[in-house]
Amino acid sequence: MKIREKLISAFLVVVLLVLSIEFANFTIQKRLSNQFKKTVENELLGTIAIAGLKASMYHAMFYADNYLNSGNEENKKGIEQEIKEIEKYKVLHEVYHIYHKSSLLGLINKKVTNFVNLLVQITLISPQRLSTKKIQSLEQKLHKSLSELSHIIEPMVEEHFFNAFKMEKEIKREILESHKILWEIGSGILSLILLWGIGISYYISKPLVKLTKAVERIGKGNLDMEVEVSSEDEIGQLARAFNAMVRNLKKITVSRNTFAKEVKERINTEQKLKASLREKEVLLKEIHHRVKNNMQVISSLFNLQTRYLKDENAIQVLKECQNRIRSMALIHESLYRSPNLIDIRFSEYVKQLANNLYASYKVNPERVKLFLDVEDIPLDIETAIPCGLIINELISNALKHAFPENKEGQIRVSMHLNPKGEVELQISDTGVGLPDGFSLENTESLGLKLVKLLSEQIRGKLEITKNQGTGFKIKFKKEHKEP
Amino acid sequence: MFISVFKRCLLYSIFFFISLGCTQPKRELIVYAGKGMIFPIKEIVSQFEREHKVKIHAIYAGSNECLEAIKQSKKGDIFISGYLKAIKRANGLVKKHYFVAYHVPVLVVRKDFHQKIISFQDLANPQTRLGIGNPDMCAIGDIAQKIIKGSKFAHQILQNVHVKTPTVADLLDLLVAKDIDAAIIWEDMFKWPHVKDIAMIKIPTRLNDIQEIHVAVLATTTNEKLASQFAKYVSSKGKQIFKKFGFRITKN
Repeated sequence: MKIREKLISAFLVVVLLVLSIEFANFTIQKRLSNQFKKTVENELLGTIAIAGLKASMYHAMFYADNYLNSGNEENKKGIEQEIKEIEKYKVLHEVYHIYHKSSLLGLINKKVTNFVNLLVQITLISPQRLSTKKIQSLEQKLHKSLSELSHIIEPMVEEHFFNAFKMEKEIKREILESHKILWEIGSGILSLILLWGIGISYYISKPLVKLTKAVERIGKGNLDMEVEVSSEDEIGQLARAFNAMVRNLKKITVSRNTFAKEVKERINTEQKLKASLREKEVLLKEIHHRVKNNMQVISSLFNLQTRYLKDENAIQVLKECQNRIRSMALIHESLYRSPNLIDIRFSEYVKQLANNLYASYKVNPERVKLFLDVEDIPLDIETAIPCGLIINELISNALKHAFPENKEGQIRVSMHLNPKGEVELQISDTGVGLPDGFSLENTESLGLKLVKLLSEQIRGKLEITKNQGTGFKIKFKKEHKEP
Repeated sequence: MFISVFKRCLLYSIFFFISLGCTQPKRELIVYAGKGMIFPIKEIVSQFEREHKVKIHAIYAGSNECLEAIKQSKKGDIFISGYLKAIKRANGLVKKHYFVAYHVPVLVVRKDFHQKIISFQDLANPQTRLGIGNPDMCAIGDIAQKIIKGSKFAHQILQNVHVKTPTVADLLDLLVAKDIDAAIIWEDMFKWPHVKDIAMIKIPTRLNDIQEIHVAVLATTTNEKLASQFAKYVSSKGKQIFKKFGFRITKN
């Protein structure tokens, strides 16, 4: 049963009890007052009937006396009229005395009947024909009969009044008694209602107190508990839901602890990985640095070696080798200077490489002007080294052969990404151009052979133009590796 | 356990209070009856009391007197009258009524006077002392007056009326006591125990006014169910008792 239903039924029971008490009170009062009314009414009306009877009998006797003495027919009619009245009061008296159950009723009826019979007999005779003695005898009979009746009726009237008074007292006493009983019953029922109310409030509040205590304990972190409530009402439902919630909370808390532990482990691992990465970065920079240094050492060794050579060709070969090593060393330098150790800022690299070559071949930059249009395309080391070597070979070739006899001219280096995402590297000069019948497949030049091989290595497409000087165009796909 | 016991106590107390309010009607009846029917009614009453374990207070008086008492006291359950006019006059006081038997007026004369009165017309004889019921008090008085008025000699007969008694029983008493010579009473009274030395003369059919006896349930009844039960009893089983006491239950 739900709490609302319990409360409504409790309220209805209380209302019912109060109404029952009121109803009982009303009914008892009504019954007593009806009884009182009926009894008093019977007594008083009985008294009126008997008084009426008595009065009619006296009137009848008066008429009878007159009739017997005068023989007047009017008196005879008076007797008949009074007989009618006597009969009426006799019946009325009988009706009221059914309730009173008077033992004298039969006697009165008998006496009245005798009296009426006497009256009837008087009406039958003609007084003129009767002797005085006979008349006196009839009168005496009449008087005697009336006197006897009066003796019975007088105390009866008094008895009626006494009974009415006694009954009134009795009824009043009964009313008081019923009030007392009703008060006692009402008090008893109210006490029961009070006790019941306390019981109901305890019955409803007990599980609530249990729940409150349980919530307090859970607030303090104690999840190893359950509320014991067996009722089927809302509180019972609440307690069951609460227990389910505590169980779920417990499971969630366990999962959360495991998760926190896992997160901590992952953070540690990440920190370790980061440390390891930093270590490797440092190591890689160091490697690039050392490789560059070693290459510079090799280049310096070639430089030293050239001082002991007299053969110009050998010196030239060593210089070319030295330039190639430098171009590679520059790549490594750019790499360890780049923030991610992968991409090389090619515009800077090409500028530096060209300066080195101008210095190496002692070419005046005013005579052979260098125009650089190199986009900063990030290239990895696998692409950057062949690209650097290609640029090195082609600029070297231009500086060596394109401008003989201090001829002035221009060298242009450009590198861009075309809309197809391909890198277009162009090195051109305004020099004397390639000799007639030049073919890259048949050339004896190591530099150009290297250019061809390196172009193939980066899967590039090499084109040569011979319009106002020489131009090389290499298109290759950028294969950039993500850091 | 406590709650179930408490609930039961609560229910009992409610029923107790409700039962206090429900009043049981009294197993008592007040019956008014014309004095001419005293013998069959007495037997019916005692039989009904015995069969139904009830108490019946019977009041015997003239029909009009009974009616007067009912009107004044507003008490009573049953009214048995040999005069349908009286029941109809009761109007609002009667709830329903049932036929019981017939009341046949007859002329009765003292046996020693029988030679002088052998027919209804002989009532006109100036020496005849005729007694009739008081028309204001009993049914037979009213009917007798009507019968006399229907006769050719109404004037002479009415002059011979020496007494008008309150009840029909009084007429019989006077006749037996030889205070009167003739009277108009009910045919069934001829079988009354103290009847002696009287002779019956049938009233000519053209003059006679046969009455129906009806039992009526009064509006003043406090136990209508029991009153109806008694009325039906009188009009069914009671018929045979009426027959036993000389009443006609069929018109002829």
